[in-house]
Amino acid sequence: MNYYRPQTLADALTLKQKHGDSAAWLAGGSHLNRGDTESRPVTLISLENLELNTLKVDDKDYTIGAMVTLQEIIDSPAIHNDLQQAMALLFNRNVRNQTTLGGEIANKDSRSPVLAALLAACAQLTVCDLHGDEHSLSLEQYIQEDREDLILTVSIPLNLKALKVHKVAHTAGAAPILTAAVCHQIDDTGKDGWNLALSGVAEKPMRLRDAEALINDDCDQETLAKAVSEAVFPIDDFRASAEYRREVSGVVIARLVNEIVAELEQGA
Amino acid sequence: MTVSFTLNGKPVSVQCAADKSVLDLLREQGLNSVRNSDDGYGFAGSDTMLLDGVAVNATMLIAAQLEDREVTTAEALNVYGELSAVQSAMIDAGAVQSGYNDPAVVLVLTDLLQRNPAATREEVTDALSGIFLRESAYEQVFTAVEIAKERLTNPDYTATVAEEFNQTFDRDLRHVSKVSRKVDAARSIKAEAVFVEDMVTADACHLKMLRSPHASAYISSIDTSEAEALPGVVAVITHKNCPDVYFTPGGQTAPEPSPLDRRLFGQKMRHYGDRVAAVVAESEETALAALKLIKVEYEVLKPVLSIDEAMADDAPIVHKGLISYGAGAPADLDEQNADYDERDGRIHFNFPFGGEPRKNIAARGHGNIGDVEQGFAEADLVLERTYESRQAQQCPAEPHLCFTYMEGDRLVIRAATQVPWHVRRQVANILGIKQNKVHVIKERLGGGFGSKQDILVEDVCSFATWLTGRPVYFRHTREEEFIATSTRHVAKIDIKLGAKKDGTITAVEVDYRFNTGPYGNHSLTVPSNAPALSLPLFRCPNMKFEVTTYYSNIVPTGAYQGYGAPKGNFAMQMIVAEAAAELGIDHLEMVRRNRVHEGDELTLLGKVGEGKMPSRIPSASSCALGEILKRGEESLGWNEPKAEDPAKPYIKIGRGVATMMQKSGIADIDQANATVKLTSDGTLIVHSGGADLGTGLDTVVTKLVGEVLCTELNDIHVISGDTDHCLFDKGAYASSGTCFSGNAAKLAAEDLREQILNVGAQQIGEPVEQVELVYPGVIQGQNASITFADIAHFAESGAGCGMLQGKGSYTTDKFAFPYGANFVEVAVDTQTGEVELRKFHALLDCGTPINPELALGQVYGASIRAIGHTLSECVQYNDDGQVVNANFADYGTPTIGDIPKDFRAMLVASDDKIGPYGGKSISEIGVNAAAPAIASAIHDATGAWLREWSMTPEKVLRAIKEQSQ
Repeated sequence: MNYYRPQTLADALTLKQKHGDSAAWLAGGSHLNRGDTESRPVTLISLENLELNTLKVDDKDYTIGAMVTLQEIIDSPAIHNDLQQAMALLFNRNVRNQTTLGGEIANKDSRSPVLAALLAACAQLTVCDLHGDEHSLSLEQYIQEDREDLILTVSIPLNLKALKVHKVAHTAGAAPILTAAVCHQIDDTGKDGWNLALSGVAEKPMRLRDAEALINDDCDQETLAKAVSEAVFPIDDFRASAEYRREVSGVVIARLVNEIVAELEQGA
Repeated sequence: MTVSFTLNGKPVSVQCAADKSVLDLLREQGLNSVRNSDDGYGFAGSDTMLLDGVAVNATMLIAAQLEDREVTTAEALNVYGELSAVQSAMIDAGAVQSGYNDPAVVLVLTDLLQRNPAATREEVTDALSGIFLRESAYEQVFTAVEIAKERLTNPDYTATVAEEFNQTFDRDLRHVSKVSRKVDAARSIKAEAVFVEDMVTADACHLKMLRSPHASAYISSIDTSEAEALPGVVAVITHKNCPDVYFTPGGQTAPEPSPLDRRLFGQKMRHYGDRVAAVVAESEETALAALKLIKVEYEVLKPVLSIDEAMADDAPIVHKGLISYGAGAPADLDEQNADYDERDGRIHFNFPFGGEPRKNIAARGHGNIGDVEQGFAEADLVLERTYESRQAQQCPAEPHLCFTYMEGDRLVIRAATQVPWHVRRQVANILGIKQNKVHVIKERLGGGFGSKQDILVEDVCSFATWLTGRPVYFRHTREEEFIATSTRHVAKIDIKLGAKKDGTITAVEVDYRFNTGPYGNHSLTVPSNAPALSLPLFRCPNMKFEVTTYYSNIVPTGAYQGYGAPKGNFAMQMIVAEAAAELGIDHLEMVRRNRVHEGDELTLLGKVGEGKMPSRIPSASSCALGEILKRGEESLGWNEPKAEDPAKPYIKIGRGVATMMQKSGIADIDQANATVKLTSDGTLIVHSGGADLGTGLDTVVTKLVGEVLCTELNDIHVISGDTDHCLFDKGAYASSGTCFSGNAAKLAAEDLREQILNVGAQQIGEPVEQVELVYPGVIQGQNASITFADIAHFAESGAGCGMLQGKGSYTTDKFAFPYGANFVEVAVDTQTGEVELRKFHALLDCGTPINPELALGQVYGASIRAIGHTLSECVQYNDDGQVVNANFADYGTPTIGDIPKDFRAMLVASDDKIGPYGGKSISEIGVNAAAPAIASAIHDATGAWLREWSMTPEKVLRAIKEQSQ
């Protein structure tokens, strides 16, 4: 096996161009080195020295380097507490110490609670292509289009007011049956925005845009739950049936929205 | 590549492949603390190390990732001759059982307390979220953290961690029932070489197993030539070249009450993961490569996966082999053998116990007392229900593993076994050699829970060494643990109960149907313990039961803590709960009204044997259930208002209770032996046949000997579980350790005491009636005294009487039953089916707890395992009988994030006359009541009855909906 630890992004991209599909980016390694990984890459290109481990806050976004670990996000005083709690839903500190945010996203695990949270929080990615050209795209786009661009940073809008995430699982350490995430944002004009996301329900983590629109129309909890349930076409596996996932997705999303609304009312 | 890094403060450079597993790299550096429980799934944390100061898993790192980094392992905490604050706190809290994962716990807790000396419970939970503690269930680790916090500032700090029980019965005991450090804990917590994997030599060959992809199939052809030709391959073993010997993997006293229905390798595959071929090669990589070169063709058969399928008239037959009997062959044996298929091999019954392989029946039993028809006629209420339990796995952190080698013409087996003597007998039988040519050395076990009562790796590993003369190491992967070891039998139980309006139970009739899977190990005894360890919890004059165990093509079952009791007790306790609800009687009151009392004759138990009927009717010689129910009611707040949150009307709170019982070994069947010798300076060496599987049996033995001989515990050394050096012991199962192995050691110590008294009296010139043994190891006469050291010196002198040694052999025709109850409070989300365990109080009567803090650990551990099988754990299959969740996380194993919020273990003493100093067993009983207690609490919360394990959120939600319709 070939292993490279380039010192610059340019060198890393050159290596990737040279080795093509036989090479994989190595971040923390918690996915690539996992015991159930079916095929090991012939070449690994480490991202360790590319200075992708910074964590910044400006007036618009939390910007988190792709090599920042989930535990480092939890430990950072600069990050919104709700985001930290979402990272902690991966209930294993050892794994969180190893798993980078970029790696977690690139792995695109359909059951990842972190992805559900980031989708709801409207995470934007800065990625680069093999020529070094950087561009921005949404996490949703990255997942839905099954992109494989190298992730450099992850940005989460600072206008996040509340992010509530609930995972339904057999145990704390098990892959969830489903994770529901609801994010409440307020834009520059002071207008409320609601983002809903699910993971574990379908083949890919997903946003629930039709249901989001209903909240803005002040629908009741029951209507919202029904809309969410009707919007998903769940998988059926040994963890739970499609029918269960469909029903509970709606229940949990509606409940999380309700909790945020109640907190807003209390605050008001 | 050359990888340079800092290892425990010292620079290290290693030449290796970039993708070499860091676990392998560190173990090659001589570091034992990084262990492998889950093959890189990042669940168990046995492989925890610090990388640049943060905890990560070594199996999920490759060597290249260590470049320029700093690695710290648990060995960095070790100081020769001392224990660190966290190490000693873990031991003092009783948190150490096998010690397999405890160095990892110490490493992360030390790191946590360095970062935050005032770490909260939540922070401890978070720190341990990546470490799996199957044995002790974490609760005592929180106590350890509190002790460590104090000890970090005051090294002399001592803590009270368990109740003092001596006052209960006004006993003057020096060691028994008092807290003392587990005798083997310091070595395991410092990651010394104590487990089988630590003994494997560099020249060992590796054995890897090719396993069946089909649940039921015949091997049509198998070609191993390419595999054999691969350089480095030493041998390939299949059904064509293995001994033609049939045996049962169950480690039970011979003649075993289980069908001898398997061979090392068979032509018929009876479960997904069954053995097809073994490759023995000079490296693990070569062995794995050779497996891929074996060409196999199968004739795939329709699998039988459930009890109902196995019972069907047109069911595929799992065993169509030639049936034979050692004694008592049925008259229609020739008829049964008429359709014998050679490819199925043979099946032998040592004696009849109801097996009818052509009906997929492995074993049957029955029993009754009184007249159930009369009892039902007297009842005001008759309920009939069916309760089912699914397949749970023991999940020891250390998988099954074995290291074998030759010493001259003798085979040495380094084993992680609960049954060293059964291993010796079985291996000698399979290899066709005398038992004196086999030496079994039981190393420390990284968890067993019954699964290591079965002989699942020692057989083939031993044959590989015997065949090749090479040292051989065979270690299961975690997937193999799930598909090819042993699990809890699946059960489906029809139960009918009659009761009067006042709650008095008048009759109970039960039809127990069990699924043993592909082989019949424990197929009589596990199911027979279902009635034996549940029905006698209630006074009822009319009881009747039948037990039938079916073969199928699910993955193997066997012994698991509690044996048949958790399933049988689920049915019995649940129908009592349902009857209470029907009659409008408080559930706890219904239990109280019908419960067993101390002194009760347990007539039904006289009708249930384990291959042999009891020679006398057992009685409840001691029973603290009355006090247990009283204390449980108080601690849980049974009658307190439920604190439901008006803002969350969908969360409902409920409470439940269930009682439980177990044995303390098997009267008339089990035997244990021990010797105690007085060494030259008056200290003592004990040879105990007992097989300590991490539960503290060696500590029990040490304390009992110290108590009898009035010595310091530090003056006693125990050697156990070695078939060359120790005397026979049937092994660590059936909760026999304290009563059998313990009593044998006590008898040996008493024998030695008599010898010491005689010699001592002689030496000081006083009559033996005039002297007494006093602490510390002194024979005190009226005029003079003499120490053990002087007695030993005399005994070993040219004019002496010879070295003094006591021998004890223990058998009994009496049973000692521990009793207990679980009190539970749950919060059920009625819209998602999620169940939160808010309170779980386990109260146990183990008589006099010999090691109180370790006894508490047994209770916590048993409770979390039972919570697991109740709520989340289940081996699951696809339609073809292939297991779909063969890893810890998908299987549903609980970790620290799943322990109850208010989790308490309490010991309630009774005064038993059978066990040593009144000790009864504690090792198994704790798993027997969680399922019915939780299910009855869910009913109390929601009105829905959950009649099947595991009670997943989906099943709970479905039950709530069905109930409301």
